[in-house]
Amino acid sequence: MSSLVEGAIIGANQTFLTWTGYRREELIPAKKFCDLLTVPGQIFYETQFAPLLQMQGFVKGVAFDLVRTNRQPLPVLVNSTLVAAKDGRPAFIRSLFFDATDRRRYESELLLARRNLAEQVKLRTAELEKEIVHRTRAEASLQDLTLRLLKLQDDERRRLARELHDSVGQILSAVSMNLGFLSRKANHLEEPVRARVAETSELIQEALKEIRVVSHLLHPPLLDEMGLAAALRTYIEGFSNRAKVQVALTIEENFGRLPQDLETGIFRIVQESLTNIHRHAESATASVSVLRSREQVQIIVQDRGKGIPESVDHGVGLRGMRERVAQFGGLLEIETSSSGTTITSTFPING
Amino acid sequence: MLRNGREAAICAALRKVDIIFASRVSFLLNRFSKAPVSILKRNNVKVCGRGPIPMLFAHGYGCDQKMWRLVTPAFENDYRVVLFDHVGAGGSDLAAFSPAKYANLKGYAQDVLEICRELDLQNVEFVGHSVSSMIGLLAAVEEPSRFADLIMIGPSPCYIDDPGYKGGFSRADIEGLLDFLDSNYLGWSTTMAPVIMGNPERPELSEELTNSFCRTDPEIAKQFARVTFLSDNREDLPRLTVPSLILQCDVDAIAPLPVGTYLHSRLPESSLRFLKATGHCPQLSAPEETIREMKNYLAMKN
Repeated sequence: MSSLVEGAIIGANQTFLTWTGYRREELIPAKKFCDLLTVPGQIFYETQFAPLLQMQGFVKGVAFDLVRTNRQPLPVLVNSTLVAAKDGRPAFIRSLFFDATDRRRYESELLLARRNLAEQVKLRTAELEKEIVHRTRAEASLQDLTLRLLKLQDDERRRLARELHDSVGQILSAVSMNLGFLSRKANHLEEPVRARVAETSELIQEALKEIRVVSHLLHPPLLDEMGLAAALRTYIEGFSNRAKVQVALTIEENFGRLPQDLETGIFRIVQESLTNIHRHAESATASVSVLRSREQVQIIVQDRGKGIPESVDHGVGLRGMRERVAQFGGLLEIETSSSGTTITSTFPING
Repeated sequence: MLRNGREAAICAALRKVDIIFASRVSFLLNRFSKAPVSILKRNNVKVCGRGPIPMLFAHGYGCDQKMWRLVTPAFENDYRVVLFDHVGAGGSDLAAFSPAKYANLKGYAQDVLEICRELDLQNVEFVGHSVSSMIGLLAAVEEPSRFADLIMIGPSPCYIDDPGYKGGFSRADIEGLLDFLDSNYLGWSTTMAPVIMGNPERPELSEELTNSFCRTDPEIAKQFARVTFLSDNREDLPRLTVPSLILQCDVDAIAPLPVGTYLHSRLPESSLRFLKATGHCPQLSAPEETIREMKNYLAMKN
């Protein structure tokens, strides 16, 4: 098909006429190239096809719909060339049309598939985003739960310690006093009875001592009264004796006081770390250093044991420690190898 | 003071949400503002000509600055000719495209003003083709002192028919255009996008893309089409204080005759000239006539 630069059709072959349904005299010279296009095609023709053709002299493979006399669109691909007259000025446009019915059908399927895919990606992204929110929430409530458990545990221990010390301890003390009275008045009794009284008295003393140890472990009374340094020193001394692990403690003489919660937290971290060493690490020695600067406290617990196996990394004990540290906005770092473990916890000091 | 457990848990949860949010924000920022690209590079600005007065040419939808090549030589003796590509077209920086910024013509008008500021252009003779006439109008409404005249070639303030206004198209026509573009850009994104996006310096790819000016991401092209053809700047017309020339082509399907006369009646201080040239791009089909009308207007002004 040939047309003038301004659009009027000046020639068309029989195939073009058959395709479009026009008779030759209907097309020439009354119709323009644009008249055979859909409105979107006309916009494209005016804004891109025509300027491009004028600039580079040809256009290739543009997908248009030709509007036939029966109003049915015919999908075509168009190659157009600008043919110059002798003076070099453009004389007319020669256009070749290819029936693209099948091709367009595949293309629209492809387009549809692409759009569906994009839609699915969008849906899945939304789902994933929802899931992230969900998980974040679940994570937060788990953390909340862990913290509440820790708090409950602390309170319960404190209560038990007090109970043991105050009621059982008091009762035993009373029994002990009675026994003392008995033994003083027991001179006239037979030897085996006196021996039993003396033995009972010793057992009571032992029970009292045991209660003191247990209640100290549950909640060191020194912690509240004398502070972290004294409580740690006493605790570690006792631990070394009981557990047969030689523990070296480094803490400043005048370490000073910290908020009660924080002191308890630090004490529990040390306690938990040492208990782990005793139970799992198989280390003969350990060291505990507590360092204090103006802004933070750092606790380093080190052993020369066999290290923490990877499977334990997410264990309840370590998780509890992490949460404890996180509760104070601190950071827990664990370095472990087959030749020992170092647990460093750093707490900020607020205010 | 120390926070209790519950507060700590909430804070921890918020921290996590913050991290997710921050990572999304930085992802978006990275995507749309990589390194600070200079304005001149972003819009592929080219300056030529020997005159003192700046003449800024803005191409329309579907084209790039190359479409001015038959017109600009006629002005290079007397003017400082400034050419540029809208972001998304021609040799502009595709990475600078932001769907939000270019969601309407104001984003493009902003770029025009930024180019003016960057080159310190004063008393600009602005020449806008098609949709760029309205982009120039928005820029001149915002900063009238910078512009001497607006020369509008094939302008339209609104392409869609409205009661009492005939723009030439229906909304369905424009939706159809977007589908039409889809079928003409099919295959582009998978084959060309990696090549072009990976080469900001643009090797000359024109041979391979002979049915489009725009070595442009089809999604960008479609958005520009949508923004162009759904724009309605009729309310802005009376706010223009800069004098203007409307060049109305004969038989222009994109900006038909009634649109030109409508513009003339609404634009204060406007002149309307009818060209014998047909179609929508007289600067290509009838450059001599276009140049003559522009020169006549500028001569009359002075």
